[in-house]
Amino acid sequence: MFKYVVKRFLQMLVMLFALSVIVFLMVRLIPGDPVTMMLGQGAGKEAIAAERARLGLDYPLPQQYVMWLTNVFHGDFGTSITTHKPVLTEIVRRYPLTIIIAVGSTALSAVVGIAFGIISSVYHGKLADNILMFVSLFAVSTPSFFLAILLLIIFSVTLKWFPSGGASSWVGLVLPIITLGMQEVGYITRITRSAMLDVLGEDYIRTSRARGVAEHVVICVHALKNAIIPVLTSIGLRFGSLLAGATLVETVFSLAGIGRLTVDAVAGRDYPLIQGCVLILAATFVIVNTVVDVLYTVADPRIEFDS
Amino acid sequence: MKEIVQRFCRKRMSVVAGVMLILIIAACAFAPLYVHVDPLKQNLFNTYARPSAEHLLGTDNLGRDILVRLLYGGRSSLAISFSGVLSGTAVGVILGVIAGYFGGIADTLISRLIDVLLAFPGLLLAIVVVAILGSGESNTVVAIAIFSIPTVARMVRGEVLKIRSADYIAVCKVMGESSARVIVRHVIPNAISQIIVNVTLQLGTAILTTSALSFLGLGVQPPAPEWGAMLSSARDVLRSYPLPAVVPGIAITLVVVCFSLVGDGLRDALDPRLKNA
Amino acid sequence: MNGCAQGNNGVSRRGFVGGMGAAALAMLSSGLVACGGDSGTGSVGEDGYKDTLVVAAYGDQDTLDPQINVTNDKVLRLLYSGLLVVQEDGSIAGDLAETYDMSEDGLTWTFHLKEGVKFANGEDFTSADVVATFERLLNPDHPLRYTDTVAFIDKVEATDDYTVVMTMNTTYGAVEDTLAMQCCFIMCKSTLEEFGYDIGTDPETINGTGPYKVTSWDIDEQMTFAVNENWYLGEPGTPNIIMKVIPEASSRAMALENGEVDIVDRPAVDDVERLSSIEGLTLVSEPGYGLQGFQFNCSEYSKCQDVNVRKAISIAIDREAIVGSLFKEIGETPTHGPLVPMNRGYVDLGVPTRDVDAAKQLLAEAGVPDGFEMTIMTFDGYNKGVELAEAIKDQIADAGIIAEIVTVDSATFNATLNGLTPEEMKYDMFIMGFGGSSLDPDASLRRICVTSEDGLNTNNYGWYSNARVDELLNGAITLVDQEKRMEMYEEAQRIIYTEDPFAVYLNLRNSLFVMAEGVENFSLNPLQVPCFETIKVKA
Repeated sequence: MFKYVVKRFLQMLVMLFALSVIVFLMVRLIPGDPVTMMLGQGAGKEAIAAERARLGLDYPLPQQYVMWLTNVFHGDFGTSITTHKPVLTEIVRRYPLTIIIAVGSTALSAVVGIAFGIISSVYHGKLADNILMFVSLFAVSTPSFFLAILLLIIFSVTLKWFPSGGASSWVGLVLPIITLGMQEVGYITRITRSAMLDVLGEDYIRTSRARGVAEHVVICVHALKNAIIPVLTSIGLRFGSLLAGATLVETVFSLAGIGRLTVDAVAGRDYPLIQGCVLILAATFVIVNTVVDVLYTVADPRIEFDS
Repeated sequence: MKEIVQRFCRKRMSVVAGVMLILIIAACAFAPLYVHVDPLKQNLFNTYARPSAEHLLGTDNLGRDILVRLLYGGRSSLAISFSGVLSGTAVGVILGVIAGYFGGIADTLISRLIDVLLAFPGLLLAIVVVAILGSGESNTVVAIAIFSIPTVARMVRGEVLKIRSADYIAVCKVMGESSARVIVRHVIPNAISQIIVNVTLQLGTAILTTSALSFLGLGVQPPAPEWGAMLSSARDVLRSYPLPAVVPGIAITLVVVCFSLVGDGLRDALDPRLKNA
Repeated sequence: MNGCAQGNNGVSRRGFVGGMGAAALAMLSSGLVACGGDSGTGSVGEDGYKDTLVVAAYGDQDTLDPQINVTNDKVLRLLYSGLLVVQEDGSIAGDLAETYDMSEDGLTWTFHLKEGVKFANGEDFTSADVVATFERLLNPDHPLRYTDTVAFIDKVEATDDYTVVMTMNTTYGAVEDTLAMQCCFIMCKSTLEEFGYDIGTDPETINGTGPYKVTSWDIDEQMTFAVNENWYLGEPGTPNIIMKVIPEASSRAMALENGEVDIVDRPAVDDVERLSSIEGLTLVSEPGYGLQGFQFNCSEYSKCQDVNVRKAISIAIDREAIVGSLFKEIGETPTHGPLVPMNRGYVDLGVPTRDVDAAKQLLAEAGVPDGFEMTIMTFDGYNKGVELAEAIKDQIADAGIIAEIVTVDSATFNATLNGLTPEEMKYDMFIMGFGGSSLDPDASLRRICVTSEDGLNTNNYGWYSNARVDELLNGAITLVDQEKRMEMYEEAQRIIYTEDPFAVYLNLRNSLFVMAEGVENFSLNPLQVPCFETIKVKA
């Protein structure tokens, strides 16, 4: 098992290396000259040439890559072309907010989704099952920015429960987390429901019931214990999509997270910033996935390590 | 086949969703045949009109008929999501088959490629693709295609591996059938049910991705009527004039819900083993 | 080597992610502490006025270095001031300069500086600061965004602590207006020495003589300002300003309705009617300092190279109908020339009347009697940019011109209008905003209208070329006789607007704000920038 874990982490490192190459190349493929973007319309030719030289854009690609990667190892992701600040500073400032939103909505969707899933599986095929599946289906099927605006109209403008945006206090994060979480609830409900249904059909559950164990104990302890592992794994694996999906709610709720930073960087052809953001997001995703994967194998003795 | 239809029909919600989906697709696809109003035809003196006999759902910011734009927008949205998902699936199937059937270096390369694509979570991949290629309808299709490649490729590869080890494939090989023949005759038919289910579910996701890209200003650009673009360009004035935003918004949700329900139904019908999933 | 490097990478990443987690926790707990407090609206003074003004902006500034800043609309003037300033009536007066005079030949300008002015950090303002500011801007080894703008200045010298002498390369007709521009705001010598080109990001690097100083700046989130106690013009209306960045127009409107902000910059045009009908909210919609329209690509690769084609398109368009419909809620009007009424030398040339038959006649003269197909590029960063393109497409279709609209994103837009050769340009017409950053017509016309010397569209985006216009614009700027200059600009305006159309000018853009109840003394300066420093907010 130790060998498996090591192998998995080595694979992760190879992935991260591949990612760095791809992210670097990808950004060079983007059309449009970053310097003219940065200096704006009507900038002098000398100013443009000087800025190009300063940014190292005149070197051949492989050399630019080596320069970039060397700097990345030293924690230097370059300087943002638009804000003139170090990319790492920007990311460190922006990332926590997105992480809070993503973690918050993961937690919310996990609690609600697992509860919905259990109820659905217990009342399999009955009205409660159908209603819950339907509600979660609608949440997952509505464009999240539309859902966000609707929630704002209801809870901010009409009921005045929450501010219209901003992260100056945690109250402002409630609606974004609900918006993003609601989209995940449907997904987790389905996984929990099907995992529970699988487990509920097993012999030992029937045995427990036959032995006269109370029904809620059968479901919440005996069944859930075994059904929960694949559910938690899926939740872990969805974390990355939440990070990326946060982009939309960040815009509607005026939150300065890394998602908006990435999209603004794309719009502004801010090479160093795009590289930094995409690399960090993808790397987070790869690392989280590896960790979840390893934990899963450790937690579930049935998995063979050679496969 | 009959059995599959019967199993599908047992899920009433899926049947209802399927019928609705067919109606919606038909209404949009054949719109040019029965709607004789140009979806781009504007009337600057009749903007934001309320619903009336002439304009059943009212008009938008340029006095264009919202219902007509809804139908034409559906054509565009559905075309984008179908062509994106189908081409992505085609590429994914080919990659998956090659990786699974031939193994070796091909498998390693393809698997790593899939890993790298999967490392860009969710919307990030679409954003990156559009950032490189630029915005617009055709590039949105490419983004969605690339978006759907890795899942399909990985799934097909798994299926192929499973089937390849099955005895009858070995028998076919012994009997001298070529690789291509074995793949076409035996491997693909065995994986097809999973592929169909996956396509159905991804069609819904694709519509949501298209609208998310529109919202970020990276998707289909107006004036092209496309649901996501209609919704996002009308969102600023949602509270002054709700219809131009709410109508395409509801359409998106409805269609995505239908795709999910049909996908679920198909999964149950095509693959009894996955009945509860 | 790779393996080793990757190892480092992995470790640092994990450490990094761990740090993020800690930061996230810290943020969350600080948020919990902040719970219950009123989020940033400040308190009310004894006089019944709020001590903090909250403004909802649609976007953030790129930098607060005036010599680099591109998004130079609303913030810099709160922090810095220049030698000269444009007054309410449009005339120019001394600001940091008490008086100034020009030599007979127009080549030497002498500025007598105000004494007793202090920077926000408490240092005295002297001639050394002026010299340092212009040396940085004029440095040929490190050209900046606005170095070209002041290329007419040869050198800037201090003759004593409060006298500065500027020597010009050439006689220049717009010296005063240029020196009143934001790029010529005076920066502090010691701050320049300490931070060099790092100025403009962190609050401590921003040190000017304006009414406020920056106390914090969370990019894309908010900027906070506190009164500059050393401001030489007294005390601003409200001691503190918070500028919140709210990119979504609908969210900006909601923030105003919820009472979270006092002023909203740029509400959605079609949301204005509803907003201003809400009790207590007031709309400010005044003709701004800018025009909107569609510029022609006049190059040999364009369908619009022929002057008759351009004239035909111009008169095939009903500007009153388009502007009256799209901007009716905010009362915008069609333009009457290539300049705005506030411009010096503005001539009212009227609105071209729509005449489809005449347009067809012109097309026949151009050799395309049955019309043709063309492309119009637009960008929704302009107010209703897409709708305007759609409206034009609809109207020129009557003259037989079939337009395809290409909507691009901001990055493509900027890349397209910068340094392309005519072969690389794919569009026959493209949306454009017009207006300079000063009241002098030179700023609005010369850069964009004179023939491109190197054949690239770095400034003249559509390769417009008219020998007479070149002669007029290049000639006028070297004159100091303003009367003669303005005559030349008048002729240039006529050519650009009607005889050899440079663009289809559509609407005179309005500055658009919605204010909450209690906001007093709101005003716009001649360049239509809000004077936040005078505002008071009644609680």
